[in-house]
Amino acid sequence: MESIFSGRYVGAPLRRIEDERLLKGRARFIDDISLSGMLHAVFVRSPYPHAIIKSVDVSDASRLRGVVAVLTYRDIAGSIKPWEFEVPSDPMYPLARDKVRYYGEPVAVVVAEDPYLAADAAELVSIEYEPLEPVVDPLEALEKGAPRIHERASSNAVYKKSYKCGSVEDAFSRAHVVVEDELSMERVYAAPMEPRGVVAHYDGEQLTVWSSTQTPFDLRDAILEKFSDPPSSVRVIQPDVGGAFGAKIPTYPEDLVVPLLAMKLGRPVKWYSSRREDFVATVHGRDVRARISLAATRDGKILGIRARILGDLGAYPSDYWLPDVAARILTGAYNIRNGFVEVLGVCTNKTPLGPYRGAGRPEGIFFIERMVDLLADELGMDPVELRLANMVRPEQMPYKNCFGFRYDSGDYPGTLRKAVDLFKVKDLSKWAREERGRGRLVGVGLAFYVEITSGGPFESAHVKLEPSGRVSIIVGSTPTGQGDATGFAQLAADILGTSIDKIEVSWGDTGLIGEGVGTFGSRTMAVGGGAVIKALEEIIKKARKEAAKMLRVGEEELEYRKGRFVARRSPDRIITLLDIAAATGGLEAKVHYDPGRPVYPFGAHLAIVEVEKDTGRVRVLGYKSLDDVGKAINPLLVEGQIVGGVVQGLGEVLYEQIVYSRDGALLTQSLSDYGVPTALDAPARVEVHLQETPTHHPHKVRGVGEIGAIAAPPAIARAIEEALKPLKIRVRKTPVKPEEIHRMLQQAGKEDDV
Amino acid sequence: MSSPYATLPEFEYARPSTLEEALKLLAKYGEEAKVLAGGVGLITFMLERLVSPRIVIDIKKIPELRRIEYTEGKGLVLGAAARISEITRYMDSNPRVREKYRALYEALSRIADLQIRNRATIGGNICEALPFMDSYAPLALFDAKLRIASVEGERETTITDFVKGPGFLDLAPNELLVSIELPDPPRESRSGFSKIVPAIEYSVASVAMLVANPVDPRSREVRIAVSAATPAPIRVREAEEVFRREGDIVDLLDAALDRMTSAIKELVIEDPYASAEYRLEMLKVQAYILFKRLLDSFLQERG
Repeated sequence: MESIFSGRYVGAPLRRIEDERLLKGRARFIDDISLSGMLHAVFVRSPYPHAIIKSVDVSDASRLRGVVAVLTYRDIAGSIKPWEFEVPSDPMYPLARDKVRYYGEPVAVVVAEDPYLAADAAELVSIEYEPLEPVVDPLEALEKGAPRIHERASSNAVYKKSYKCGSVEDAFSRAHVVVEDELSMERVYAAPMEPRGVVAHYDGEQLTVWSSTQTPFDLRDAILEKFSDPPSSVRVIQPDVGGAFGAKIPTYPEDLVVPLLAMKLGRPVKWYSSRREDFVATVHGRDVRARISLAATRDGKILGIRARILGDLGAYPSDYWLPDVAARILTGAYNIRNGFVEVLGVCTNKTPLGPYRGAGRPEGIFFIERMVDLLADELGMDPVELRLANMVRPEQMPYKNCFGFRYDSGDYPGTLRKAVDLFKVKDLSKWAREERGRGRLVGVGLAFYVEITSGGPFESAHVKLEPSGRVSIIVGSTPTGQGDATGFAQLAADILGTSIDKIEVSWGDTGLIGEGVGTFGSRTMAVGGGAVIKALEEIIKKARKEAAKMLRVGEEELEYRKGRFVARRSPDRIITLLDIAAATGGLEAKVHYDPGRPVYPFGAHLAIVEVEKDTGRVRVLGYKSLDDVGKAINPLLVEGQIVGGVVQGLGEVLYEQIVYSRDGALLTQSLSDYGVPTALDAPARVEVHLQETPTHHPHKVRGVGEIGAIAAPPAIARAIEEALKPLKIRVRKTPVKPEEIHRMLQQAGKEDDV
Repeated sequence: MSSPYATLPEFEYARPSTLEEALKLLAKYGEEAKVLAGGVGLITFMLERLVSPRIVIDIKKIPELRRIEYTEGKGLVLGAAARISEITRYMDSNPRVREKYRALYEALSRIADLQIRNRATIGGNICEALPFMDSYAPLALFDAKLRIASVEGERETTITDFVKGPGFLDLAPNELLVSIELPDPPRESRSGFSKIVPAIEYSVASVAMLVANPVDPRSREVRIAVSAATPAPIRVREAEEVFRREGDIVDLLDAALDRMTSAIKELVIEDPYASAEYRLEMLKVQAYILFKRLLDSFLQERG
């Protein structure tokens, strides 16, 4: 097949084909779905972070006119199997059985004729709790005598693992310099514009479920697997989704209970979360802390790394693997051959931890980048030089890092040098120094990252070339606003040699495509795009057979170019794909694409910040990035992903923090209490540079969805430190709020006076 | 736990077109009634079921309550249901009024965002009774008179007497805040407003300041009002008095800010958003910056 890179679409910064519907208000989000006879569900949630449920009295609520059902665990126990996790822990029931483990855990569900009645009735459900002592601090959860959250686990540290390579003792004994620090990324909430919601309808045979999810196939499988009496057919539809950021990967209790209600009651049921509810009922992210030491020689060769990483998993260890990812990416872009990292996952009485844009990589990269900066300061070395001296070199690729990740390709030192050039780091640093001389606290910070994308096990695509020339592409990917349909259409238009207007992309419906995996982990354009290409190749293969018959030449005689087959030795024998489609009643292919090994995007980000001396407020004045995303199928979409990720990372460093009181109540339960960055907080411009080192995928894509959120925190943290020079202030955690910066400034000022 | 469901409880709705009618409804329903102006606060509280009134009395259609009027010598009168954006727009088209009440203008034009300012009203802002309401410090600064009415009659109060603390107003269940009157500020005065919003929507420390006749010790006047850092707004008269002393106004600032600190120190709020120490420090920092800004504007004028 001819190169997919010679057409007019791939590589072009096209506007999104998805946008017209969205901008004209024609999108259909979960709350836009209204079915005839639909009931409304409201979940009654625990006001305690840790308590025994003594009794539940639903009689008052049931009596309210318009209330159709009030259910508790006992009513559904025989119908839905609980979640059992892979690490020692008690099961999680879709409605709590006898114990609640976090503030907001669902205990009962009320179904009524309208959402108002349902909420009224929810207030009347009377639940008697026996409060237990909660534990919200993971360090306290590790102490002897701490309240035990899971009876089946011998301690709250439900997950323990370690990774090592080389000889870390030897490395540390040889070291001239050892730097050690404690770092953390606090708990955050994904805050998608659209909270979660579910609608379900059962017609006696088929159960149809609409969910604001990233994983409709997982949800379908969960229903089939967990329902003791599953319907004969389940169709899960992902309607338009207003953002997800990883938090809509898990299958949640509501995703199962609402469909069960629709089956039991024989009427459609809707549950749509409010923002306050989403804050407690949707997984939180990050909440990982680390103690790390780096051993190095006097001239800046990093000899070894030692770390203990502790993840606060919240009440249920569904995503215990998150701190593990942080641990395994912990050597970053550096060739560190001696290492030991111990990972601990601890349960506490908080909303369960789950994936959030980057899922472990932002944490690991924040840790290593902060440590490398610390080492540079300790050695009095330029942080760029220190990084260059320790980076994995291109000739070492593919490179297996200390903790088992196998980096596929890339010239890390070359990329960093190029970034230093493109970003004009020298000029900027000089400018910042001069401005600081005039009393302005401005600083420039740089970070380098490597991260892992394009996970398996596969992705699916089903492509049809209709006799009319229209092309229908159905994908197993499940984008939630990223614009991937445009990218897929670009690939298809170039491969088929047709206009992009002829192409229609559909996704997010298990009824349209039997199997799929979904959109997460920056895999959609790489793995989903791979599937689209594979399907198109199949179509061209089928067409070639037909063309050979129709032109009466051998298949090998035919050359395919831009939608037509030409016989090499008799160029007047030409037939277009369209003719073939018309003659054959259409061409069709349904494939699974196996992505093989993961690929690793990498790059450098730079932030320019100003700190307001009197208040500690930080403003990001400018931002630049150089990212190796492999082939950028649509640079405009890529830029959108980078800018969005950077602003999310900015929010994480400067504003966002989920706060629990010591007694386990969630204090940040609205967007007034929880600071999400707005356009006003973003730098006026993010200067995006791309680099396109190919990967093993047919379209050479590496992935882009999470890199902004991974790279921005360490870059901004460093810029803040630089702005406060010559004071030796360290940014050890995210967020670093104005008050903390103000306090550090005052303390440093006092020490200076002495 | 406030209700997380974001569905309104059932309520009756009345939309009187005269003040008299509104007052009668309030007299009839008392504590079972809630007054709706912009709805920015009330609807949110009702969605969270923090309040479930039997009747909601919408006062937006009462012309008298929508007044925005400046009269030379009498001052600025704002009906309680005047929208924030209407007030700032009025000031934009009357630049002299805007400059007279500059601190109020600066506070109002930075409330939340434009959509909110298009709904929210000055009376609603006052009656939400949370420490960080942006109208508080400027209203204290300009000695605003709050006119309160009920079927029994009318009375007048000040913002510092009216707002008692978080959720507490000096307002009987049958009473309604009708209007806010801001007398003319001293001639040739300058004023400004400043707040610190660290990572959330709310200010953790707000300051409004006014300076008049800075050079002449006999006629000069400095006013300082604070809010957000304290449970209720405060006119810091202890600090203002310092400026009546002889001497260059600039030399009096430190002493005034010290007086401010000792006067309010015990009252400053400590919560997860900001420590008392930071709030107090931010009051001082902002007072200092505002003071410099206001003095500079006098100097610039003289060229």
